[in-house]
Amino acid sequence: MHLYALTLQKPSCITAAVHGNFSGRKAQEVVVARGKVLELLRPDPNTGKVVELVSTEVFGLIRSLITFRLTGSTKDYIVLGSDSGRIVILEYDPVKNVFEKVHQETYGKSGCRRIVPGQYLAVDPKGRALMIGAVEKQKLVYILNRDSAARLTISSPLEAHKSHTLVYHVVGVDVGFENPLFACLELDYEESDNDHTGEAAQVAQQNLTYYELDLGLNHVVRKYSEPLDDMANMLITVPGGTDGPSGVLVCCENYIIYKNFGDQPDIRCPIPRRQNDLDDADRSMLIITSAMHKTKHLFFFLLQSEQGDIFKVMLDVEDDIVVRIKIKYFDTVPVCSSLCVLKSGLLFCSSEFGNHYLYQIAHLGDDSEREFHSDYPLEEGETFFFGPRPLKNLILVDEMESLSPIMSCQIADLANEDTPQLYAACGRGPRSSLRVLRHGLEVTEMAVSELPGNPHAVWTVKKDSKEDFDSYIVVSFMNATLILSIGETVEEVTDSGFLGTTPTLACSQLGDDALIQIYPEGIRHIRSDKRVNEWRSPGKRLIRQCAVNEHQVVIALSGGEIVYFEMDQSGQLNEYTERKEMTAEVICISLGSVPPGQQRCRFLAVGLSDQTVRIISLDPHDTLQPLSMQALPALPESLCIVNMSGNVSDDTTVSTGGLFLNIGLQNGVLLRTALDNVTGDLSDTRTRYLGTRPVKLFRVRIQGTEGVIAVSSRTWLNYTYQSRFHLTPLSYDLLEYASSFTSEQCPEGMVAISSNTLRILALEKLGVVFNQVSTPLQYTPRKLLIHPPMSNLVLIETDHNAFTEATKLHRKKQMAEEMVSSAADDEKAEAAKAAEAFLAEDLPEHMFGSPKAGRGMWASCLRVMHPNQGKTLDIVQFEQNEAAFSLAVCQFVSKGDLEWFVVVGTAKDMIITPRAISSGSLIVFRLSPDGSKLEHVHTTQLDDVPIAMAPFQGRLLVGVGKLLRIYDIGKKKMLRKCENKHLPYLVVDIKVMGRRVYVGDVQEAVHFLYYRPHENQLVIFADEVVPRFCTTSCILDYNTVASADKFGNITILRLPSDVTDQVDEDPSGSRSLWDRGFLNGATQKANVMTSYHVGEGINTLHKVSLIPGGSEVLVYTTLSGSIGILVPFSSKEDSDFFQHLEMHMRSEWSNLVGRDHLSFRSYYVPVKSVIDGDLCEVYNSLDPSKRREIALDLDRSPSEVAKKLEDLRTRYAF
Amino acid sequence: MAFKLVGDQYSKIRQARKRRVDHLLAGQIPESEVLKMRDGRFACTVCSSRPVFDTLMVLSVHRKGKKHIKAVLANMKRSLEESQPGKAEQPLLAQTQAALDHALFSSQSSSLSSSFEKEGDIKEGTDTSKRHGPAHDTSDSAVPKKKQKMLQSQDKACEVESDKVVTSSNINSDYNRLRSSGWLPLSDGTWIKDPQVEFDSSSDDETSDEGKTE
Repeated sequence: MHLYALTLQKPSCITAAVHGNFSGRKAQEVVVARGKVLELLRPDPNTGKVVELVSTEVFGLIRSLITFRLTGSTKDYIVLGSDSGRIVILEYDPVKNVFEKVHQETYGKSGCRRIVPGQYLAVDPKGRALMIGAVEKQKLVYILNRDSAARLTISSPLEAHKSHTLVYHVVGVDVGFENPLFACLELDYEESDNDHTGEAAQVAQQNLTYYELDLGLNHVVRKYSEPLDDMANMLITVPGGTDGPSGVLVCCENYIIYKNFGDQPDIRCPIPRRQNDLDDADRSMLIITSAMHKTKHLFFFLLQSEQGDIFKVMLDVEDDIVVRIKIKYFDTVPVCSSLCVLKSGLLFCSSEFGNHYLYQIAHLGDDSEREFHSDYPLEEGETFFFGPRPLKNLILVDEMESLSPIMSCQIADLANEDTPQLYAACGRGPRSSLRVLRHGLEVTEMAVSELPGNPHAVWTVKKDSKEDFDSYIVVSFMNATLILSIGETVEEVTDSGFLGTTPTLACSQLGDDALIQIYPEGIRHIRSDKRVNEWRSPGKRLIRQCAVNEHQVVIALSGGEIVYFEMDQSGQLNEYTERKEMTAEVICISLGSVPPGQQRCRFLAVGLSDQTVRIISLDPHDTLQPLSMQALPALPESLCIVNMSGNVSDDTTVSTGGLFLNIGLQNGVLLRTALDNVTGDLSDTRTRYLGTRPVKLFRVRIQGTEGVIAVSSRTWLNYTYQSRFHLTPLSYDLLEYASSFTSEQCPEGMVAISSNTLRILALEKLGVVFNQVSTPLQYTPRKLLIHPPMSNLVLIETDHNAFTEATKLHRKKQMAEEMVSSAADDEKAEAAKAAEAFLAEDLPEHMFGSPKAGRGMWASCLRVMHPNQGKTLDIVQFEQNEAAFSLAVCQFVSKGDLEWFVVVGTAKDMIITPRAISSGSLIVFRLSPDGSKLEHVHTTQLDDVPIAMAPFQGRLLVGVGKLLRIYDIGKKKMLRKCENKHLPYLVVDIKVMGRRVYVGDVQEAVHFLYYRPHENQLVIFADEVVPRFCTTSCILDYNTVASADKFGNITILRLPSDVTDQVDEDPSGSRSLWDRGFLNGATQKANVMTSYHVGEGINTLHKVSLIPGGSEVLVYTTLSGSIGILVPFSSKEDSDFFQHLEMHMRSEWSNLVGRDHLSFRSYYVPVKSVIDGDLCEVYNSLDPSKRREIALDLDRSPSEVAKKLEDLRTRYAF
Repeated sequence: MAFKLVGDQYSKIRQARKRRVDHLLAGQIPESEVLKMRDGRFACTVCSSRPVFDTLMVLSVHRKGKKHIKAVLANMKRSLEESQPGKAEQPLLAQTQAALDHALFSSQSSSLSSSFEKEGDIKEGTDTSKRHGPAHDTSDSAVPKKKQKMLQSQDKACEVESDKVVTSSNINSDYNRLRSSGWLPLSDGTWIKDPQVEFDSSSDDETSDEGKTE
């Protein structure tokens, strides 16, 4: 078995984000790291949308990210710390739109190791040095400079190692132009290690250590170290030199401390807490992320706490000494992994889980919000209190969708759309959601209006070529034409010059300021001064087809005659003397648009009824002479010549000049052929099946370049985006006709006709594979299942460290009562009012976070939802501390075929490590016949937590701890019928086929069991040799299982052909202690067929077909929000070809972080029989010379290789 | 790259001989008298204590031993007693038991050696079938022949009672259903509840109906 791995959706979580001027211009950009993808985003200050400029997969894990700028430079560089054992400095090239590696220095072994640096990066604010540190012991300092050619130079590393030391955080201290200084939070564990009593570990203290890089002597000195009283987690650099007092802010538990050298005393300020918080009062508070903003006159910090509250911190300085810290509540946003304050006043928040946000900083918090100072008299342990409120200083500008983490996923066509949808339960805590993912572009409907009669075509025209926006919308009906003007309102006009009493075949702007309308009886040329020239079709012959651009008009009369018109310098439309007789009836014709700076388009494409397309020259010296011809497999329906060069570096595009002829056939197939703009030759045809109806093509403008709308039984858009061609369906109603549209409100949109309505549409999210419809959930979703008869979704949601709604209400009431009872008598009335206000307060949890209850406190619920309406049909809230872990939707043989049951496995008072519960249970609900209501049947007590369940032959298989049991439904409880005690640790996954059961253990891979009804026994007949930490599995066939683990590996196991499941258990019933068998005990072992490291923890695996009529693929989803597929090769030649291509790519393409691709994919176990499709697709972005070399080695041409890559992707997915 | 030789020609011969011996031994032992366990060991089903042995060689040594032969004789006596007319006062029960036995034996009628052939690979070009036949006939004790005779007589008993249609598959599936619901069959044809399995309080009626049919 050989597989091809492809990513459908990139990871959407952001692990690190930094901002700077990467393209050297004034615009501020943000570089984000999404695990193994590096992206550059630019927030557009005008529209406020975040645009993705470049996205690269680095085939390695990015651990840290920082920017630096050399003194006097205008451009920022990016430094990456990864798992490659190399420090890499990148530069963004705006012309080529790629990241380029400037320097790569190896310092250690690859892999995320404790002592190999890569985890922490710190840079001197003046851009002279940078420090890269490991979690323990090693820190290296590099000196950065520029050479005579102004290129960046990097020195050899200088060591700053300290053994037996753990590092928590590293920052560069701003010391102006003195020797660069780095501050580290360290913990020395040497004493704790040597002390066996454990007392030293209890009293161990962190140190704040300064390392100075002596530029003169070229070495690093450990300058100063002081112990800290509180445990700290973060350091923040305070501007120094001429901009500020220098020093660092140390963020500890509950406190922020300012520290500096010299006479500066430490300034301590407690972190304000929310008043009337339901959280445990003894719980300490941490600052998790920060951003610093500096202007000429002031600087301030935005610090975010664990709850999501942002505080604005300022320092009062007198005579270079900081005298107080001022802290003020700013706003609350969801908990972030990074905050970036851009110079344009935007705040980029990359959320830890869930969607990311871009805010506009409207006010700097200089309002009536109470400000706290560090010199206010407070007892030790006391702090300030503030009241959280909705956003006041920040305005939400843009929201970026993120699926991370995908906890559970089902793929099925529940909406009857022919293509299956993905139902992904994503998110964490109150920010969880159920998202329905559909393949297709999201379309924003700007306006819809009913039209009288049956419109069949629509165009937009500008009155003058200098105008930015369109002037008229022309709609053609069966026997009339309607002209609408575009302005503040859309109104019908009668004085445009167009003929309204006849249907229109085409209309366009001609020259600079003239208009042209083609109707069956003739052509109407309307000048700017309202003079009209008419050309009538000869005799009884009507115009059947026409094509028009800014200077040329071509019409086809009935009988196959083509007449050509060209506009001259004076604006006169002149007919060419000769007419061309075609050999067959003309079905469709197309002209390209006039290239800028030229007089005419050189080519005319004609589709004839003899199933051919001919290219005819319109050059003055060989007008109407045939140039080339292409035979077609079916009759053509429509043609479109587009110029899609953009900045695509496709070989064909480069060699032929970027002109493409799109041919839509009557059998629903779209052909795209490259048209050589010199010779007119047709080459390199790509085919795509679009739908069941004949394909109609319309030219539109997408992001400044030309694109094509292809309408079949579904609407598709062909466009270039980020140097790649995309052919994506639109998630919208079927359109009948479309045309470009620009107006003030909609600078780049489309006007289209769909079932008697006129619609104005905009396409905003280009390049996105799935469009999402999201429904919020209450807690973190754990499992999602489909109820087959009614296609409803059943899911369980569980959160640790959380209160249920009932408990929250109860606590609130308690606190309100305490408020009133603890107030003095004369303040009772006020206290009562405050208590009422507190009870009425409702801060939405998805913005303000949910209160943390404490260890062992759980909140959980069971929900039945309608998949497409997003409506909750029924919800069952479990008690406080009862957590649902597993779910099954099944029928029982003893209850007949009609009743469906939902069984939930729960545990009470569970402590995660070491795993302990007070009791477990199976709660059975009966689903009503319409699948919308749950009725509690009974509850069965268990002695361990049931983590996995699966229906089995009319009964239920439950994994209770490490026991596997079969349960049948009884009248008062579930009845245990059979048990297997021989699984090693904990059953986490159960799959069933026939009488075989495939059990995933938490640590010991997959076990194969067989149920013998004759002896009522579950017998393990085969297992695996290598320990794997299974999370999920999927049955591929009776002998083959695909299993995924929490480290991001996918393995396919197959039982050898000689394995038999007819084995017995030990008849004496017990096993002697000394005789455990070998390697888990089953004599028969499964073979590993394939093995592949994805790079992120995998949660679900499904074997489904993603496109109608396509073969099945193995789909996986991960915790980072990425979705990928593994596709089997159907022929050995394909497998060989891609294997060689991958081999070439590994040697030719240099990895951006310096990681070896083979060792990355073999992170835990050697990669076997899986080819990395993402690496193969990087072929399209290589230099043309390298592409030619590789293609030559593979005995193919570069365009053939590109075609093969595209074919493999579109055959199975999109 | 040089490949190391693992073992030598003599070890190969030894391995082949051992496999051949195992195969021959397997041919002599009817599958109904042996249980193959999931860890590759074998248990003797004839003896009531179900002794477990690591290899077929050891099992065949056990089969020649005193205890095993005693158990075999005891089994023979029991089956003879059952087939005697003294049991006429419970003819239906006897018939049920006979039909059940017939059904069970006929479903496991393949010999142990055929399962061996699936697993192992006999590379010697010897004609094993011929050796199989005589070896099977001569070394086997009188028991299988007697059993075959008994089976034949039971068959006839079955055929006589033609008005009650009892197919082996029906009996099998009912047996399986009861067994998988947690009922244990006793040698006298009754069923008791397996103490390891849980039951509903009203499930007593279940088996009393089933036990009495056929």
